[in-house]
Amino acid sequence: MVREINLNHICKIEGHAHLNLKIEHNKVIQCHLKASEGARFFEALVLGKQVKDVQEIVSRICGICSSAHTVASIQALEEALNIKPTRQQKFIRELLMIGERIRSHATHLYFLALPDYYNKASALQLGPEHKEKINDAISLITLGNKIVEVFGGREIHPFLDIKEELPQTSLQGILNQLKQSKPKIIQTINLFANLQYKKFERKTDYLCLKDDKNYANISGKIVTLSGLINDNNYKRHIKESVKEYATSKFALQNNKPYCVGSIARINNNQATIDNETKTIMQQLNISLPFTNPFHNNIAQALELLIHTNQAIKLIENMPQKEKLHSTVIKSGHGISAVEAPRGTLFHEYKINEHGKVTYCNIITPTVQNLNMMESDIAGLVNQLLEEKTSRKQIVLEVEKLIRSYDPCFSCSTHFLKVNWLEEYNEKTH
Amino acid sequence: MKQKKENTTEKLKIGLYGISGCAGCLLTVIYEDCFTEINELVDIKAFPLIKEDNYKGPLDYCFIEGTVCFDEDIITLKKLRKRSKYIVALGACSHVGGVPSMKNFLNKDKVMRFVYPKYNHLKSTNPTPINKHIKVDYYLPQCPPSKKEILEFVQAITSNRPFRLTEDPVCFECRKKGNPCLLNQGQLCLGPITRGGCDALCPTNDTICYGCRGPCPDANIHAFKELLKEKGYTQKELVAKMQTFAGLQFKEFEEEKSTWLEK
Repeated sequence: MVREINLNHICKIEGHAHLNLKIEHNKVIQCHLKASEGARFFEALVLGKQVKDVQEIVSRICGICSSAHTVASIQALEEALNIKPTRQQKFIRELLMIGERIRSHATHLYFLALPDYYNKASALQLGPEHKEKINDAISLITLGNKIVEVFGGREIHPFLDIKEELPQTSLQGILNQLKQSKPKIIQTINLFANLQYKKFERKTDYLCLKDDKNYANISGKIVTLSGLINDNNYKRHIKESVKEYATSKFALQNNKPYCVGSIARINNNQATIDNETKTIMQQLNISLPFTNPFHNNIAQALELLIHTNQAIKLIENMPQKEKLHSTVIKSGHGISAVEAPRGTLFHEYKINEHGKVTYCNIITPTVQNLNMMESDIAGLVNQLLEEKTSRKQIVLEVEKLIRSYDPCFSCSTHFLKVNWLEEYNEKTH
Repeated sequence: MKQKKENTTEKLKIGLYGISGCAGCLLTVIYEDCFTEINELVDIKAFPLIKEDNYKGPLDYCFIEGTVCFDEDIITLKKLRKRSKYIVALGACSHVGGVPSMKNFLNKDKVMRFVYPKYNHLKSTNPTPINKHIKVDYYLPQCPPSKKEILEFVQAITSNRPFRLTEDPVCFECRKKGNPCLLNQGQLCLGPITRGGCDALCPTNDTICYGCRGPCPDANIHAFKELLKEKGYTQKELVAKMQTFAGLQFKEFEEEKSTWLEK
């Protein structure tokens, strides 16, 4: 007999999704994770637009990672125009990404993930004994917002026109706040490292950016456990496909599902994790690599500290103001990969001699995680069925698993268009 | 779990929902201090972005973010309309269509030819603001919406005060702030025809106004076009800018004005 488990309107994730599981003889025979967001066709929307207007449009793909879309689009277009960013520009971009990461992780950890582990329906229902945790979360979110606002002009959908001079006073304020937030972050790590996660181990590949000196955010090599990927070759390795039942795309790396996000970054960047974080990991007996997808929550908590330390170091060594390079419009082709809160984000553009976009391809983190999520859900349910877990508990664990991935279905859904755009361009060029 | 009655009976029942969109508007609500205050003023009964047990019964005010991008969105909207005394369009997408509504101005034949037959499971509709499908009582414009305005709105409805959007254009606030005029600097800024209330956020950050709050009631688009012509811009360039967020509304506004002039 075929049993079905349907989860309609999964809550506490970004965007809209349904899960449909078919089970026969205590084995999962079908696992469909369906994004149910309407397609917004972003890649088609920028076709024919001037280079200057692109960032304003693509940042609207996602309210959570708008800084990542902003930075990725600007960097890809700069590459197309053969412009090298100044040190100050890179500095601003790094901080924009860090601010966004802090608020995104804090929102996910406390508001979306944590309530599950206390059997509560939402963070609003956590009792007075947890009030401090929520206050910590809000103060971390506020700090992240403040950073994005100072460097990007507003909290969501930032501007990236470099200002004449960065306001020194607010940087000092941010520096103090970063330092003051550390005890809260260390508490966060303790909290999430000690939650009871389901034991669920599996092997997979992890993809992210890697830099020799820094924990990479906006540049670096694209690495996986199986080796390096050249920026320009990313499409040969990462293939997107459309599945009949969903409005999002699904990506495979060399025909295999893989994982991006905090867990991938921590696993692949062990060498560049700062000493303070390393010490805390030792104290808490956290050993790498992470192999349990639920541990993405711990990885995110650790990243809060890594990025806070990174931001402090950056601000303390702020570069001098430099003259901006002038923009000369020419035709070109550029690709940029950056680390968004949820994982590696690719933006690729071709522009013509009038500075108009003729091609655009965007691959978001959730698109890359979807296959792995489906395979993990199937694996987990099989394990739970073997352990004779109750149906109610299965649903609960599956929801926890989906949330631990911190999926963003807004991001994953505009990308239906990729394929037809490629066809469109191949046919017209 | 039922909450204690004395806490909730007095407060307005609020729902916060999203259709196809980026979640930026809903995040604006939870970011920072304004959320704590809103949470104290009203009873947030439903908020699927951060809540699991969402109330399914009648609501006083229902906030909706996002653009209608496929049939399911319309079904969601109609259900929400039935349950709610007042519908509040939250943010540019829901108010004027936002960035996704740009698709209305693309060559649909071309889009269709390439989208189908391969992806015929995709039922996409023309991206439209929510008032094309249901009656909307209030608008909180802008992309992303202004925290100040959201809070002002909640304060107004909880204390029975009227809520009105400013009718002045963005230029009004921009001048007041003493910003140098981007139009005069050779950038195609939509400040003169766009509804203010955003404190001229974009021009203050050296970015042109893309018209995300839609046309201001007194906008003279005709005169603006003439001005731009003098400055050497083509009609096409202006239209492309107007289409970024509120293309549908600017177009309707222009058509209404011209028929009104003819009368």
